[in-house]
Amino acid sequence: MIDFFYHVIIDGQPVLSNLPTDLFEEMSNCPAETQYIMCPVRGQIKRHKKLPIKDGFAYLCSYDNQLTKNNFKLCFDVFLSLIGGFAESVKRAIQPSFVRVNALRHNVYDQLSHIQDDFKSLLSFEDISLKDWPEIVSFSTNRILSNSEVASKTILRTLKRVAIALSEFDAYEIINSTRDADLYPHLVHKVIKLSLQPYIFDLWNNNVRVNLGECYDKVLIDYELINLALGHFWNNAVKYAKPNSDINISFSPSASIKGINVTINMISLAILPSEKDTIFIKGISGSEAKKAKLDGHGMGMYYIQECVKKSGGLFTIDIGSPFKKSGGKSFASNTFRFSFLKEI
Amino acid sequence: MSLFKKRAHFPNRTMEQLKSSVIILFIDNEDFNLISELKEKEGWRHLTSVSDISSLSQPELVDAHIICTDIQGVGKELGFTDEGLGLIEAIHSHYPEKKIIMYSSEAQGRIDAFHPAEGYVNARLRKSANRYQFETQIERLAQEAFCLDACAINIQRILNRELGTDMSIEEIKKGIERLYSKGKADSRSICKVFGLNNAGSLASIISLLISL
Repeated sequence: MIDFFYHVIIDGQPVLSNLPTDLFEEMSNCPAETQYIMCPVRGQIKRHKKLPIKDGFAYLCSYDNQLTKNNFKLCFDVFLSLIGGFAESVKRAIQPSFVRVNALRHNVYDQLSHIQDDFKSLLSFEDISLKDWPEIVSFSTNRILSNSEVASKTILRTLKRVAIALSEFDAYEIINSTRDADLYPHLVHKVIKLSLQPYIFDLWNNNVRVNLGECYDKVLIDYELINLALGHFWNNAVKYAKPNSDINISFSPSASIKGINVTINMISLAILPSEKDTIFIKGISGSEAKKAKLDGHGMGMYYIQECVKKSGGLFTIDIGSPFKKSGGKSFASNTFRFSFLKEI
Repeated sequence: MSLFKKRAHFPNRTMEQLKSSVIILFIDNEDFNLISELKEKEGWRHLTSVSDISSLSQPELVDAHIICTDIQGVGKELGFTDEGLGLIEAIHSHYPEKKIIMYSSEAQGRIDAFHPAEGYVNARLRKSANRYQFETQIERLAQEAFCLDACAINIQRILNRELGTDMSIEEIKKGIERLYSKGKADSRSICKVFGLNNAGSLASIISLLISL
């Protein structure tokens, strides 16, 4: 077998290389035609060639003294013919994860910025003067006590934003992972209540009342997946539920799977019949949400359905007829249904 | 009167009883408020925490039934280069009956899917998991260790996986009741009751079950 050193640069980045760093200078000085020379670095005869390719260059080198000029030329041609396909594969592999990381970075950064902004309205480091340093805790306590309502709201908002930021990581990891769901029995009422709590303040702010029914049954779910799904659901509810309205949550036996239905009825932005299926597609938002400029990245419904499916459940929507225009927005009485397997 | 009076049926242990008896140890080099919350708000009475383990015969470790450990920043005192994962491996090798919950800031605590410690933990959690998630896993493992029904389900899984033996839950429960009534949990008695050549990990599981 003939040993080769290769180095391929595309867009200024090495995409394929096994070239030792001590030979980098030799590569830089290599002309386009094949050279058969004594290598000043290794003191051995070598053949090497460097050729410009689209957005970069390809370099091949061998110290094998059995390698003829024609065979080296042939190998270089084969090498060149593989680079295009390889570069494309690298691009395909890198691009989606790069986009996903960027989206994650943006979303988490956004939540952290809001938290910082919220806290700064209460207490900012710039407000603490040098003379207050020795009494920094009592200084902060006084600030908080004199703005106790703002402080309470800040804490409630922060708890929600932290939950959202963490769920961004969860979504990034869980959605892209191939792990099996960890199904354990959980009290469905408790799961719903815990998932709802971070969003209660925002709903209260919009004067949306939540009526949570009773249920003592356990369902078999992957808690992380379902908590993530519900977090996205309530985040949407905060944006899309009509202010001054009610959200009614009830529990009943499920006919579609041997389990429990969690039925959530609310007056929220209308969903067109043509959008009933498409709103579950990654990146697609409802047209009313877009019109109201409340749409996000179109990931909420996609995450909800994916997580519920992975956990062995179902998520369905019964869309209501648009019946009201409030502030130019079209609302409907929509029913959202989570169906979870029941513990046997 | 006989000194060897037969014991009654295996007790039906409630969650309240488990909370009063099960010993939980947290190993974490950082302050973790959740530990005190589990004690004060959820009522797990025998809950202690240490920043690391300096010896595998450390009393807190010896006594614990359930061990919750971070996998970063611990295991250093015993010189494990793979920190908490190395510690988990060592704890499992010394005390195979102890239940282990591993948690970390990483996804599912799956830092290294190929590390043997992966196979020794009974539950994995994110450090950011809420109190309910820790509580439900602790409850589940406490029941698996000390309640007849949950323990029998676990033993059925082990018999099937490790020994290729298919036994019904009822048969397993009857076997445990027999061992319990005689106060025996040695390998020989277990093999006899379950018709096995090798008790495997069953000895430590049944011994723990009837020890409470």
